Amino acid sequence: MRKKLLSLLILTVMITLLSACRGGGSTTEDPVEGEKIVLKYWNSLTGADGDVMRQLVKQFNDAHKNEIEVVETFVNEVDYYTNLNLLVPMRKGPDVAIMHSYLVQSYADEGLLRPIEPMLESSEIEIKAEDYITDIFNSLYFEDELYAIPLDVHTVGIYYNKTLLEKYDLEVPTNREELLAAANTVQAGEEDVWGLPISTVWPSEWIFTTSLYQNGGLEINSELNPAYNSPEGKAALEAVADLIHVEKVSPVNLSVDQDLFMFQSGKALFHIQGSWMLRSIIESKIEFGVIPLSNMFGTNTDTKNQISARSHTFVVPNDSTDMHELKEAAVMTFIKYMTENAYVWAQAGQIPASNVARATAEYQALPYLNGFGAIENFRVAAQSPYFHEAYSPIYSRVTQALANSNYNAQTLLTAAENEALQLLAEARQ
Amino acid sequence: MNADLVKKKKRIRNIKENLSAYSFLFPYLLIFTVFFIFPFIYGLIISFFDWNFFFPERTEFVGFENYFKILFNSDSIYYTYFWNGLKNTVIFVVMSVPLLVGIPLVLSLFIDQQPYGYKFFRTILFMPTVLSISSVILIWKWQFYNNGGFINALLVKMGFEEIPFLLQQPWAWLSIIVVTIWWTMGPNMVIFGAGLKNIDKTLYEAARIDGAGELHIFTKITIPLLAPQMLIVMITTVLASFSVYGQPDLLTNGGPNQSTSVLMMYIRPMAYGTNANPGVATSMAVMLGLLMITVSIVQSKIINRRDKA
Repeated sequence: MRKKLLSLLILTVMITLLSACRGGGSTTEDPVEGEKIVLKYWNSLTGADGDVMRQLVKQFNDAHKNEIEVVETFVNEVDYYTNLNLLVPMRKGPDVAIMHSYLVQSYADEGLLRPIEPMLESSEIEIKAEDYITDIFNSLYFEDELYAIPLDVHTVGIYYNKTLLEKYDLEVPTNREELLAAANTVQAGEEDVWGLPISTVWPSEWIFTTSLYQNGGLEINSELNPAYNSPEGKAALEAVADLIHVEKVSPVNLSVDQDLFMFQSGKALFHIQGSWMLRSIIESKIEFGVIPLSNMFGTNTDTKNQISARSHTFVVPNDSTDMHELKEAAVMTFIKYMTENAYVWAQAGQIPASNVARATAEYQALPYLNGFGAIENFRVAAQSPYFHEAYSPIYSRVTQALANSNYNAQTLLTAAENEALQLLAEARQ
Repeated sequence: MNADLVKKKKRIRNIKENLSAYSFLFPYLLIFTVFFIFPFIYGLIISFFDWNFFFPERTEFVGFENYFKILFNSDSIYYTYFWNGLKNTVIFVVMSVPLLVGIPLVLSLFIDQQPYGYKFFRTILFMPTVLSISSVILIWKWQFYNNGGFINALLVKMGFEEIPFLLQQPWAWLSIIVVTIWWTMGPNMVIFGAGLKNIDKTLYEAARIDGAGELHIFTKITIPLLAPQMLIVMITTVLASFSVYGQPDLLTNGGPNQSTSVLMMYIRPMAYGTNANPGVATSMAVMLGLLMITVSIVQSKIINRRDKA
């Protein structure tokens, strides 16, 4: 009897399990005019900047009660793109998503994104190129179609310790010589303080790219092949690595964020860090200021002020089987609202890409952000669907150069170029 | 009652008994199928295709081309990745397995003597096992760091030079192995401990009376009687070491100069992404799997033969 009961129990469990496995097929109902539209919005913003994003989404939802409801889902960056890669083809992706600007080209090339312009036309919502930072907006076209709208631009800058600078009666530097002189003065006068600690790992790829621009180099050439294995590339790599090995304003072998900790605890005069870390540096209660990386690595007359920048953009995945005109209009409304109200987002250290948002009194009142440099000096990655394959092999070589005083710049650049060419050969097949 | 009827009844009872056994096994088998058999076969299938996650219609059957590419085509980046990854994985296995078997064995021998406070030590030696890889790495990174890491700070205080534990070889391997031993020796120690408990202590006494030394006792009594435990420990440790991923990924990020980039670190990012190649990634995984199966079969053969001798 007991056995029978047990078998019955197991049977029940099995049936429940099986039916649970079947999963629920979602049904799409035809939209009705005037009904609330629910949008699935995905992003990879999980840090302090994520809190600001939550706040902005709530603000949007409050402003569009009874019309549009945005449901936000966020996961960390590594899993985020994996999810997009796997779920969008399965038609289980979001209605609108955040994507880094340098990835837009390759996702558009794969056919994973919907062109924006037809949706703007059908919904009669105005998002105009001239209202955004021109270079960034233009970088989001792939084969003459617009695939993304920029939310922000983020970059790296030099944070300086105000207290130390004042103690030694030093001016805020405007070029490399002044920067090094200040670093050396403070390093000589203070025990335990470094002039400009640089982690070998991060954000060294940003620093190198900036240096590459300022030395007149290119990431990729017109055939979309690597172009950094050049005299300019060599000068760029040396200009960064020299700070550690020749100028000795940084200790060797700093790991990720060790430089940040040194700055936050007052053990560094200068610190090169992303604008996205602004909040965390404010929280450290250090008296600080920010100056741009312009004019710090190269002397090319046309480009010596340029700084590497990236952008978070809004994209519409090409999967929604239930995409209809009302939903398209809702997505466009959302994107327009978010970009134009990005002064809220700017609290997270991200500079709004929308000229409207940057012109607001709220944005103008925010401290530090202007220190990262003039908008026209921000330069986004060259456009190619194979940018990652062509350029990313240099990152680990930059780390090698920063970690070894006897590095050979030429060997490292050639190794990176060779790996890139092999990766490109596979990707283009 | 005739004999036939009895037999029949017996058979029915057998089936009934088996049925209840199967119903107990069913949940396990279901999960095993969903999370192991199915992905295994699916992966095997993918490895014979130029697979496209985004557009299934662009997926093409390519036969053994992916395998050929990673194994023999030295112009391909995948060949470079595969062989470098495999080389680093094998280095890790060869260096870590003897230590991961030897150290727990020695420790469990000590604990088996039941010295004062042995329960305490048994617990703290096992404790790291319960930690997740990320917390383990967090703890150890701050031991190994330059410029403020615990060990280096100690070295500097004592007047020595800093050692770039995570940034240069052979230190990078050393760090990874130390962390691995600290983190994963617990289960092996427990298995050996259980095996040692089962050994009849009178055998030791008899051997001692016959004038055998401690080393002799260890090699002629302890080791042979530990053979079943040794088999399990060896196989699980080798398999775990082959699929190493978290320690080098989080501790050294595969560096310096890709010298600690193990195969799993190449496979994972290659499986997803816009210009990714799931076919090549799965063929690498299948090759690693085949290697692991071969090694475990050889191991069990060797240990079994020794057992019989």
